[in-house]
Amino acid sequence: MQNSNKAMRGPFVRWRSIAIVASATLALGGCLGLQVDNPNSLNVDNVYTNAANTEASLVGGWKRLYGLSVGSGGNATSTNGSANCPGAVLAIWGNAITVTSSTTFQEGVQEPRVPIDNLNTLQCATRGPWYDVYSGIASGREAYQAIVKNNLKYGTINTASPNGDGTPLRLLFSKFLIAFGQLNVALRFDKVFLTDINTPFGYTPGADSLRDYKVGLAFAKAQLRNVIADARAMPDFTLPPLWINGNALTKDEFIRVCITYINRADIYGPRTPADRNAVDWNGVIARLDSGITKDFFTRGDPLVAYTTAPWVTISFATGTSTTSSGIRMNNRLLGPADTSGVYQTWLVTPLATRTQITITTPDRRIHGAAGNTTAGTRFAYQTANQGNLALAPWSASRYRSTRFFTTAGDSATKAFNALASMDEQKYIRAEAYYRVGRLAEAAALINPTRVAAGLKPVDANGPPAGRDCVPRKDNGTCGDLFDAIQYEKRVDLFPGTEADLYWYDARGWGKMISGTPYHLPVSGRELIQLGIPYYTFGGIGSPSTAP
Amino acid sequence: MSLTAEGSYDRGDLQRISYVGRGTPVVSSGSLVSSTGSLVIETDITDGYTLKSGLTVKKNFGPLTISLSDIGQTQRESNPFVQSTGTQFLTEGLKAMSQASVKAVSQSFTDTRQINNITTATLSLKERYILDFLVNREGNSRFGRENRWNTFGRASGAWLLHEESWFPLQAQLSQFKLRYSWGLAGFAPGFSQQYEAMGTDGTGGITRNTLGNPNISPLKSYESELGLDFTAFGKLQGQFTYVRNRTTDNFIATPAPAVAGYCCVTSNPGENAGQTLEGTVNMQVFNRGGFQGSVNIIADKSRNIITAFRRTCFTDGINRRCEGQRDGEMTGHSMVTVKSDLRAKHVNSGASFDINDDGYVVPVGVGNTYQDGIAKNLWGTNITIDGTTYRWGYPIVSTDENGLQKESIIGDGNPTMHFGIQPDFRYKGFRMYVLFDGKIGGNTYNNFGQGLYASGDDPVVDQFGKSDALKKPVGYYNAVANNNADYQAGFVKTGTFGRLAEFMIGYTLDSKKATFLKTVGVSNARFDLVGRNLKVFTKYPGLNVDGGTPQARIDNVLYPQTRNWSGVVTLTF
Repeated sequence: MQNSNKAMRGPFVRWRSIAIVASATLALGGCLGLQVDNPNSLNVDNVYTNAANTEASLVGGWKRLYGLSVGSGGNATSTNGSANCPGAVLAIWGNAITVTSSTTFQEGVQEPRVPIDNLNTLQCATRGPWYDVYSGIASGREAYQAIVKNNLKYGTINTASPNGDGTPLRLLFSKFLIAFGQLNVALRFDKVFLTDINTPFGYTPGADSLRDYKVGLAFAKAQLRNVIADARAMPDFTLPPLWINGNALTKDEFIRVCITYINRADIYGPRTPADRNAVDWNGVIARLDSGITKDFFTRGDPLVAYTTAPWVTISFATGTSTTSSGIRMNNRLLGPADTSGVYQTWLVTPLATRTQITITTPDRRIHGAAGNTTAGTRFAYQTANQGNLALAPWSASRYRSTRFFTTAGDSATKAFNALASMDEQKYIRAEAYYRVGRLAEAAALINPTRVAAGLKPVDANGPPAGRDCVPRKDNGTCGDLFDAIQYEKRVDLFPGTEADLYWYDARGWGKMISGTPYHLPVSGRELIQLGIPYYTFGGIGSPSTAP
Repeated sequence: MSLTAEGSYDRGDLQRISYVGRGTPVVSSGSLVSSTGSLVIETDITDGYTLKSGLTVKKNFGPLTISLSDIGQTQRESNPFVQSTGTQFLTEGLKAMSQASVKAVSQSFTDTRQINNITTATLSLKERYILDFLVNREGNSRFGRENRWNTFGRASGAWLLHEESWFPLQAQLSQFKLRYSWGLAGFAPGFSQQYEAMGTDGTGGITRNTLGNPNISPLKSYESELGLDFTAFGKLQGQFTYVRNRTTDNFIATPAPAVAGYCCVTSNPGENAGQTLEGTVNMQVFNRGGFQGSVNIIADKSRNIITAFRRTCFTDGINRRCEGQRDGEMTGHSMVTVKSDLRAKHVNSGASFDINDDGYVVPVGVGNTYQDGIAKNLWGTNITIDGTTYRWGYPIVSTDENGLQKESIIGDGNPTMHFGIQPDFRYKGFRMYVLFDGKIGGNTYNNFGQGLYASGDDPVVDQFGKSDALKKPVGYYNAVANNNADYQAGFVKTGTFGRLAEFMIGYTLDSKKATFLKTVGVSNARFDLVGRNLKVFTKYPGLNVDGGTPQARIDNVLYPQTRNWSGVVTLTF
């Protein structure tokens, strides 16, 4: 009987077990949701629903724009060929510096000029400035949208400020980042995407979304004006010093910065001498009066990521690592100071046999009174050859900048890395005075630094003619007042603030080598990705290059 | 009809500890230095379960047998991982994290969930015509949320021609089967690829990295296979298969639109296509007097090509990622070996260059030859030709007119054919087995040799016994290797080889003959001597002609492949 029961229970127990497991399978399968979160990194959800994280996005956005603005791309190494991109290439095209050793910059230094490779991996000139600027813009845009959409609040919340009294300042800074970035990209590229606070998250533009740089410049200026209007409507404020590191701008200072950048759009936006000449220079002078009254800077600090400026670092050859390679002064920067004729000889020497020169000049910034190989106050002659001369012998130079060599700025740390300096404003004003015929006032602005360097003061006619005339034209004749303004701005500011300025000035003054691009093509991978026909610039006779 | 249910739980606990004590001699940058100490502790847990239940129905309708089944399956696997790293130890001898002055911790957590409904149907008519179908509907948490559910499947058919009454070769072919199958399989993307990723700089700033792709779909692999199986004369068995495969929706990190503000996004734009031809033949060579001998011969050939890339091309190590590129092709640089490859500015300066005994074009100056280095004391000097300065007698990197190194296809790791030959002999209790395999054609990149050239350690650097005219300085060989800074055509070598991969000889002792085995309860004892990697026949000069992967056939090994002998005793109770 027992055996019979066992025999009957066996299949029953087996079927019951199967049914239980099958039921459990179905139940668990039905319960198992397929939506899984990623706890491994910050993402849109945990950044933009949190007020502090959203503010950190603003700070990160500024650092990204700052890095590109100073020509370093130093905080965007993931998309740049080098931490010194694009500054080094643009300064080469601006005839400020030269290299012979680094393949990263060979494309920029090549003569005769060659088309920019904006397609392959090494896109020193085009990739970072394109992608990283828009990344900084996106930080501002997404932060703005998050604050509004998620009702994030900052500062004191009371009946007078139900959304927090610090919230408007975050919104204002968001808009500033977008405008600053839009201006940056319009100054450099031939075409731009237009983006503002209403651009949706993850927006994929169509192939017809690119706009001419002139539209981009106007768009950026309008955005800056909008920021100024918003700021003026707000009560007094001071930016937290962490935002623009070490620079707690007041409301008035912030507005002046915006005005200065509108001026930059007008002065540095033109691609040709004719366009630059056509600038409303009286308007420029008026805005200079409303612009910055002290340097607009970020404080370099190795303890604060991405605040140091490789452009300043590379602009002078420090230590032993760069005695045999690295950055040197372009002969076209210092050559106009030469009074011996070697520069003019160098200019007409065929490329194949052109090499470094030793100039003689009364400008004590370049060499000392004891001889033309002794150190000047700003530059020093190197006894060692530069880098790998086989790569670009025509570009060789033995001069390096020592301006910050022994100062706090020598490693770009703890230095105040100016984005827009008062010295630069002075030279903009000198050019503006010259353009509107106020020649004596223009001369007066550049004479203090000339005289301090041992040069004779200029007047409305330029430097006095004679053996000590500096600067000289390419044919060796004595330069005029405009030559002197250009020379003084380039030599006195070096390494200056932004590497781009040498390029912007060179294109506006007509001083670029034939075939040098006067603006950049959009990054090739963007073109291909969006289905836009590929194009590039560079090379004698190619579009958008110096004649 | 049958109902089945299964439940399984898998857990893996892996703890990995790596410790180098302070003071331990270690090699760093080619020099022996004293380690400052390091300790890495990893805890890697895999926790998963699978629940499966299914219903199978089988029914005969005369000569037609139909089998239907439906299986529901749920899987979940989570993987918490923690790694602690300590360096710069303060003391010697104590393997404790507390002694490290620099410590770092990283962690990650992944969770993968999957639900499948798998339906299969098998139809067999007279056991002669067989059709098999499978449909897999899969939901997977790694698929982007907009493509969470996908359907995969397979269909196959076989026709056993030898069962047909009209088959004319029934006496000769005891099996003659044609088969064809088509399948679509899916592969899930990586865990993180659907999520936006942002990062912190640690000092108050947050920046964006990758744009998540909620539309990311599984990689889809389509494969169609046509095959023939046969057995002839009861002694010869063979299988020939032709496979065409195509993968679509390949995962490729593409640039995100700049306006989006993120660097990149992984999406599914890529496509590959390929084909494989393989054949296996097994032949009984003899069977007489207890002496049996057979041989198995295998050969295959595969090719795969990127048919769509849809992003800018780039060079990834030795591989070029670009549309039209074949898997396994090698991309790199080269030295100038013919004068016409010199830069155009040297077009009238041919007399300033010579071709040396290694086949490289070298700068020597007018009136000199490459053999004058010692006689005229020219080694170590520079020579300027058409404005470009060269090191005398050294090879010249091939560049374009802009002075940038030329990149080109320098080799191909794809062989014409892989092969394997496996003779097997038995005589009573004895057994002998050999595997001889190899490949014909294709290249292997001798990366190890390039490193030796660059460091001056290659035997070729030793100039003893050479005439002065042919002697070269150590730096010359460094230049040939371009200081080991890239992949150079000069180090692409033949990949053809034959290898005595395995040899086994054994004897099985049966307790019927060796009765003493019974006394210890052993029914038989088997003694085997197995040798592996016994001999490689090749003209390849490096250490491992079969190094790397089919995609990147690079010989990176630092030590020769070891020859291995094993003695095995197997007792069956």
